[in-house]
Amino acid sequence: MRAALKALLIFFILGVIFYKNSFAVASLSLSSKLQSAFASPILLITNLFKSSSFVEQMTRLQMENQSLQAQLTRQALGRGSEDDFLKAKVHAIFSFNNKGSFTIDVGSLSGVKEGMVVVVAKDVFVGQISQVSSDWSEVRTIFDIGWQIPVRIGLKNTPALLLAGVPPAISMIDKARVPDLGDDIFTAGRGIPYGLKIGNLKNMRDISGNPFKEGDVALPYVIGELAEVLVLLK
Amino acid sequence: MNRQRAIQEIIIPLVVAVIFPAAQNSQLLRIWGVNPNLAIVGLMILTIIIADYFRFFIFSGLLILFLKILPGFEIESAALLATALLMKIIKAISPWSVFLSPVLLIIMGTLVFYGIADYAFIFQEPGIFLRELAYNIVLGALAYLGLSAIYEEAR
Repeated sequence: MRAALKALLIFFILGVIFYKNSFAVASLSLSSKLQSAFASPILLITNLFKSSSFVEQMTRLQMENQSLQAQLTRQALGRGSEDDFLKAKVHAIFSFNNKGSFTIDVGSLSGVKEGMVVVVAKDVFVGQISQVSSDWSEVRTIFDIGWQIPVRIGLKNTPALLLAGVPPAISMIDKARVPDLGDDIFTAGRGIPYGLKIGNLKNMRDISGNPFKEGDVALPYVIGELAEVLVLLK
Repeated sequence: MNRQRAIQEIIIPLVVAVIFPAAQNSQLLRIWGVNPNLAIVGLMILTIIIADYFRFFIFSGLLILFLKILPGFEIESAALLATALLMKIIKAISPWSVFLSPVLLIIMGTLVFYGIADYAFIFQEPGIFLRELAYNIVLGALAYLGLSAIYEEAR
């Protein structure tokens, strides 16, 4: 009898881990709630007694500011903003170092399709939908090793290449049109709307024997602090 | 069951199985862009403190469950399950000293995990892999020092 109960418990746990059903989605919510519960005390300590809701407000204001700056850049580049957005909550972030992705709580039932772009505060690029189910989706981010996105830098429109990874980096910066440090980096790749802000350029350097410059990206958000994102439906 | 036994056999394994995945998913322990693999560290702890295979499986299963980000099959879950079983078997037959055992378990666990989940990652990004391995060993050693104050098996 005990052996049978043990076997049942083993099959139950294996089923919960590997079987595709709504219970697994509940475990995702629990995981994200635990994540928030664990994050709040750490945030309290690291932010010297600032409450996590205050930090969330600051983060939201910072993102809105980044979005406004990005909108101004897009308008200067002649790109308007007639996009249609779907709000989505971030369920959980992939926590191992070999992949950079997270899951959101909207899927095909809400009109989400593979390849759709995901942004924060309307104009800041976060990633692209890589997998869609009925009520959840996986988003590939710029921390996903191996992804390369053509970008432009600053109002000089300097062409370059974003190398996704840990951390993401900028490669192939055209030496004929050297951008300034702090310039906006924005998307210019196929399948991604033109002019979405990725971050700002920092730490530019020459590589011996390389006709191009390289640089680093200062991101306007911390991936671990994202609670809500927007899916670009159009 | 007396209080100390309840703490050793239920409370501490439960804390490892629930808190370690939550800390892993929180991204709060990221250093120089690299996340520690608290799943491997947690499995190493469970390997050392739980002798019974059935209880080890239950707590490892809980730890793996709380790390999931997608419903359904994930290669990472399968890799962690295989890593857990291998750690348990290796620990049972290992001739190593009590101190070397956790370090070698973590090295083996990290290699096996990525070998199954994404072996190309080890060769494409050796710098990140080695940084994570170093991070895992440091955290594992610290956890082991804490454990040896509580558990006879860790001394």
